[in-house]
Amino acid sequence: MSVRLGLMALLAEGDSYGARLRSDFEERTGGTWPLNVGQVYTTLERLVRDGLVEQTGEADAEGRIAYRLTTAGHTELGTWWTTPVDRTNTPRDELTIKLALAVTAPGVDVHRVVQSQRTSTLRQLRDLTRLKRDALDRAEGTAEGARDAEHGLAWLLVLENLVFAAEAEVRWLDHVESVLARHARDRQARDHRSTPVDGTAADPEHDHAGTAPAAREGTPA
Amino acid sequence: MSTPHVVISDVTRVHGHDETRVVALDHVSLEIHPGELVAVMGPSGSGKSTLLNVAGGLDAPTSGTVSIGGETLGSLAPRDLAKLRRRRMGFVFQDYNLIPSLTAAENVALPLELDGMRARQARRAARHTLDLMDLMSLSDRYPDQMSGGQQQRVAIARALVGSRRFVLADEPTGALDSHTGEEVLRVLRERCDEGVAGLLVTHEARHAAWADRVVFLRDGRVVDTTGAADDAEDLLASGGSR
Amino acid sequence: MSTAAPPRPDLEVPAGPPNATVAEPSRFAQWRSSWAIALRMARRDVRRHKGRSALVVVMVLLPTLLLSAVVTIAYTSDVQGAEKIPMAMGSGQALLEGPDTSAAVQGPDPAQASGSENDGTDEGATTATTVPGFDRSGDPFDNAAAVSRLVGSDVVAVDEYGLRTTVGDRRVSLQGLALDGRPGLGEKLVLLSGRWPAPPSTDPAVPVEVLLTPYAVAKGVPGTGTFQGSVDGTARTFEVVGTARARLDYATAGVVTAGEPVDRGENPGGYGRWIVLGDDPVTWEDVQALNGHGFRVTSRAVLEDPPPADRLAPAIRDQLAGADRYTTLLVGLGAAMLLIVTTLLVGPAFAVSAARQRRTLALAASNGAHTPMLRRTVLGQALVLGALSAGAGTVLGVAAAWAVVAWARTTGDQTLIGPFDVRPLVLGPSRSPPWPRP
Repeated sequence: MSVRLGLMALLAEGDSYGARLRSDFEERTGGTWPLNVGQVYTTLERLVRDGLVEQTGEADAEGRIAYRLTTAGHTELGTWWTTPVDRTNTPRDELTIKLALAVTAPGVDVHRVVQSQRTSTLRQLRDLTRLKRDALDRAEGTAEGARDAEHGLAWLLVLENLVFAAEAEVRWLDHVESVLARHARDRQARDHRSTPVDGTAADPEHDHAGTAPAAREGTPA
Repeated sequence: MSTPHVVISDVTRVHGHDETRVVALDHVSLEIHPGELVAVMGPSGSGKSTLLNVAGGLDAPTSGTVSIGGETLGSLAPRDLAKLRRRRMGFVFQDYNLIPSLTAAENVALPLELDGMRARQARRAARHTLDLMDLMSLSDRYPDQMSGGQQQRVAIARALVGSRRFVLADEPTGALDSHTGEEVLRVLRERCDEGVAGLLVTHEARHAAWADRVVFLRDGRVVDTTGAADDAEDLLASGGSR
Repeated sequence: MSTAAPPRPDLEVPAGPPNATVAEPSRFAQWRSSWAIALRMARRDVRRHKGRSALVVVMVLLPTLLLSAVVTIAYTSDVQGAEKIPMAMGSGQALLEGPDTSAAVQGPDPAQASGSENDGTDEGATTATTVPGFDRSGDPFDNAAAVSRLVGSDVVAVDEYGLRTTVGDRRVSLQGLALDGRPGLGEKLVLLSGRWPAPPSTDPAVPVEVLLTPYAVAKGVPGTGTFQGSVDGTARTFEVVGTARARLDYATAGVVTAGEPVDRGENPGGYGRWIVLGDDPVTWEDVQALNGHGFRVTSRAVLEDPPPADRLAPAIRDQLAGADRYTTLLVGLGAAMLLIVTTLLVGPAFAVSAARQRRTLALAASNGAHTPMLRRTVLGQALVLGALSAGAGTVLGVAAAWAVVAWARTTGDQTLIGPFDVRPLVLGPSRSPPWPRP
């Protein structure tokens, strides 16, 4: 996704000029994607060059130039709406790299890394939920025109995206923790078998990785 | 600074013995203040439900104490425990919370009526609570005439009718779609903002996010607790950059 | 480890009432309102689950229906006391039977208890006082005058006989009643059409005038003219002079004559029956006096107002008590068996509904219902269903019995001839159905 297509999407709603495009863009994305005016104008120039956007005429009294989407621009935008976003790129996420290194690095307590990350993510999730709640309250409290409601909806969807991301991260951290726990148990079991001091403890039935959590499933409701 | 409404102090719960011995809760302590919603998270079998049952007096701890509104549960006879349940706390389970042969208002009035209040008076108190939660339109419906989300909201109303100020919710959104679930949690959140103490058991982070604090359990131990709020705006900026 | 954290700082902590005192409602208030809830839930459940409830209702209803029908039919077929007055004597004052050679003792109703004075004692039975002018070889009609003198009122003799005739090529047996209805006997004998027959002539060539009952007409006996018939093997010609309705104890009358249609030959001891007419009631003292002459007396006045038990002979008292015990035992046994059957049928039905209530019970418990309150919830259901089905069963049972009796009467069966007799007090106890304790 690019600023380029974002601006084209806004122009598809109606002719506009640079400064207003920038403020519209920020409003729709809830300020999660700040732009500067220079960025907007550079992008517009490139779009004009590629024949996707054209100027509507000369600058007005305040020196603002309005732009509109060309037919080619409409076609390009249409293709974008219907093309799925490619997620197969290797994530270059700091957290992923940090944990991958922590698992192998000596002297690092992976559990503490996971826990502190989860605490932070849960807190983030909670605060996002508060924002969401405020947004919901506002959406219900005020019905000042359909346009406002639609913009509130856009903001809610952006927030939801962040909630989903945070939620996914917490689940991934849970997964990491349980995989590590299982791995640790397996290694312990292997160590026991290689040093047959205690015959009963080496019983594979007893030390099978899945046994302990399964037994705890039985907590009465 | 208020005194905590619910104090769970150093509670251990052991199921079975010898070979089958399972430690469901391992020295868990937790305080819930009025106006606070605490979520308990953890994988299945981590002791979440046991914690809720112990907090609500449905299960007795092997060691440690639980007190609600200054009354210690362990010292109560079954009769007094039942009285405590009628007056001090309400449960909300995953589904089928309402008695099918009673209307919403009658369901909400149930704890009051069981406590000896006249039917008419109890019904009036129930309607008051339903009105408070914008559920007045449901008061004469039977559970099978309500959606799952409506039923859960009525169940929350029942959990808080009369003098009840402590809600214990065990996966209250488990049987609902995510949107309806959020609506139910919003109602719960609102009640807590009005001064009610809440304990919410869930395995979903997005639901736990409605709480003030999240207690993370693993193998019966508290492994993680989120504390007080950060500045939400800062967080948004950092969340947005990822 | 303490995981307590301060509540949100922006939250103004409201004065939650953790220790607020709640007014203590009385135990009675709790008892009353928990029953109210239990019964309300039970009523709604019955309405909501009509099929399941109907099953339980039927299971309780059937045995109750059976029991109440049987009890009603039993009491209907068992005619005693004042119920038998119209049948025995019509509008007369008493029915005399006898005379025995020994003095009689009897209860208010001789059919229930009677015997001979001093029977089975060392002295042997007391011999009856002879009736002046009574001819022990004559038939009841010959002796009517002697009995009338003894009683001090007019009497009419009653006798019954079997009459055989043929209708077409079919043999028909009819019960004959020999009774002169002219003095007016009320329900016992009512003239429906035609005229009262004259007493039969002793000349066998003269046709005997008879009244036909609707029963005989239904059997095909011609309603007018004459027909041939035989009584005790003696053939006579009968001339129909009208129709009448007559009531006998254990049979349906076919023909009525004003006297014996034939000479019935040997009549050992002059044994017969007479209806006492007139307006003077036959009192218990009169009955005892007639007992001394060997008569057993069914008296209207005595049946309607029986003497106290201490004025009865000891032997009679024992007989009556024994009969009562016997009836009680029979009814009790029947009720017990049906109760067991009902329990076996209903037990599982309630068990199923209790199992379905488990969720409700758990919810009630989590909302502070303690064990007695939960028990009430289960019992409430049993109570509503039980009352419903037992009540319906009793009503239906009585209705069924009524239908049976009505049907039996149209077929002419004599066992159910007594007045329809519903016993609310006997049916009452059967109205409490059993239910399993939870």
